[in-house]
Amino acid sequence: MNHSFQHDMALLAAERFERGELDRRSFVRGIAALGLAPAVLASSEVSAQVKEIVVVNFGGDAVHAWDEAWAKPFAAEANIKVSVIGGEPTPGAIRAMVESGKVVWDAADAEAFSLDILGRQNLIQKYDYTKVDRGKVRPEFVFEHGCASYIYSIVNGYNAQKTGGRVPNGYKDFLNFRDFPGKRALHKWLLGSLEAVLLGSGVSPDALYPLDVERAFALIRQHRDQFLLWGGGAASQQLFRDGEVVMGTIWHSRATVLDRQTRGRLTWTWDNGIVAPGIVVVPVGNPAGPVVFDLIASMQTPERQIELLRILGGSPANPAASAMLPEALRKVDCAYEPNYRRQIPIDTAWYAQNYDKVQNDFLDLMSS
Amino acid sequence: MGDGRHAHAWAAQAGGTRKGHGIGLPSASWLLVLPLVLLLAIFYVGPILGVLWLSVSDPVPGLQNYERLFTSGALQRVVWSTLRISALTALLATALGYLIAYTMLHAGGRHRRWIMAFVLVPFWVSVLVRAFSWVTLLRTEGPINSALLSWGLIAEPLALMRNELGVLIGMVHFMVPYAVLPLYANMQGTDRRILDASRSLGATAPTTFIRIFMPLSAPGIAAASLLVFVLALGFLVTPAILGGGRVVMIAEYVRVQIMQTVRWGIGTMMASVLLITVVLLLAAMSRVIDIRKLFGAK
Repeated sequence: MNHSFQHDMALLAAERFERGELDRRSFVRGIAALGLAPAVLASSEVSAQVKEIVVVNFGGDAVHAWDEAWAKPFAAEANIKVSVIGGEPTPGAIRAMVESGKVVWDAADAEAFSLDILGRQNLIQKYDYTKVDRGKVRPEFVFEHGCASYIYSIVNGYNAQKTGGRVPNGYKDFLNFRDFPGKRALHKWLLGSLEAVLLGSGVSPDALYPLDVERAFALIRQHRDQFLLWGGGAASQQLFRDGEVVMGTIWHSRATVLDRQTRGRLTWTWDNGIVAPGIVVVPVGNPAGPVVFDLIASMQTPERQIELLRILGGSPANPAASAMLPEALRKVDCAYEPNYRRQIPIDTAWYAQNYDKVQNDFLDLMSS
Repeated sequence: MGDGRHAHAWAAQAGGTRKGHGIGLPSASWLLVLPLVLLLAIFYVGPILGVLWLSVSDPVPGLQNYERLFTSGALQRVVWSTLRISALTALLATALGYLIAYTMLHAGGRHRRWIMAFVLVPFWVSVLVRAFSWVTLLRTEGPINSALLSWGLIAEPLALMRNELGVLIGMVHFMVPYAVLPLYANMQGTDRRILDASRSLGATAPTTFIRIFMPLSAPGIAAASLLVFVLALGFLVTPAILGGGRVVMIAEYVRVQIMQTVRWGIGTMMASVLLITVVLLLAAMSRVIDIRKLFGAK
């Protein structure tokens, strides 16, 4: 009797919450006080009444773009408010949030390899593939704890003025200092960095993974003063704009901006680009509950995928979207089939197993 | 600081009285600071204990995180470069601060106010803005390298940033005001009649400076360099931006372990090492000099 009474009270609170008489915090606090939080939040009566989904990405233009392309259309059709906020949803931040028991994010932008790190520790939920359609994603980017919502490529960007108009042969010319003298930009957070160096030393794309870390480190040590590190997209753009580097790894979305702004003086090649998935992960105990998977499913719609590409430069994970691209966007889409064929999909499993160790060794290498 | 000394004496007296009469009530001065002590206990000591606990319990209980400090060359390099850069920063910032404070001491009223303003204004400029301003100045094609190249003084652009030099420039610039203030406070307290006496007894100006003024300003030098060194140990933004990934100090390393690679045990261990270092440092210094007096608390 006690239990059903409390349950009823919780449902009452949920009704008030739905009518807008209670804000989400008081509601959650209320049912937590009843000791019912997990049970009630998981029950369909409440999740059907969710009013808001909070989505977090790394901020900047991505907030506006995700809002326009993904949040607003879903909010309109599902009658649920979707808030896109900028933050720093690193694996550590997600762990801190879940362990504190005060989960605010329903969905967070993440790298594929962190799925494994977070999933192993039971910090993120497995995807509900009855809602999200595996068939709408390139198979190499579908995993247990998530699948790509967008994809991006770590391409070799170059300064056409400094190369005298010569186009580097993908990353094969990355260590060719004779024909392309000048410094190289490298990503501080590892993705694409060792690939660029290994491909530059003559490793063939199909033998690239698993990465030969020792060989890559030896090559970096050999040319250590030739590499400049960047930590984020804006910093990579700056390295090229300031004329600090002649070529280097850069996200394709940033390369296309540079190309447009400098009318092709700073540009890129698709050859050997390392294609990586961007995945929206769902923390365990997310406040909105299972409805977040409806949002994620809606993001797969080809039109919305194209919209994200148009506004932000993040490429469609759904091949159907890339197939129906307007002419003008084909040049900037790493997923457009003729471009995609020239690139190399990242080995997510390798990163999941090796990231924490190799990342730290890489920082040590660069700073010693 | 006369009031502080007064209150201190009074508190000591109150404590003595309490002991004498055997009454267990805390003294009134303790009640006054109690809210602050509680606040610190909840929002400061609590989380720090959490950090210390994580460092011996994540991923498994034990001291293996601390053991890595002795076995891992990478960790030792991070600790060593943190200590080295902080010490150099303290040395350079104190030297520059000494010059500024000394000039202020001998400048006229209006002149002194202008110097003080230029020392204080950077306090209100964000550390990020200041780091990025240095990037603009120091980069390969920045104004400094361009000017030197066009004057023919150098043939190749100098590597002024993305290395330890860039980090030092940024950190010293940030720290100079922290050095000036304790030095100036100390120099102001110097009795000028002693200097006059030295001159009247026949000492030259340089001799008076080296044998009289410098020794008298030694407590200020100690305070300034200790303050700068301790603050520099925890620097994050400046090394991250001006070091270009080539200079990793403890704070940056901790950030990577906590946020990026989720090795919380190692991250909190390094944070604890930093904390313990600072505490030990202050304890060691307090045996030599009176720390409370250094920072004006006495």
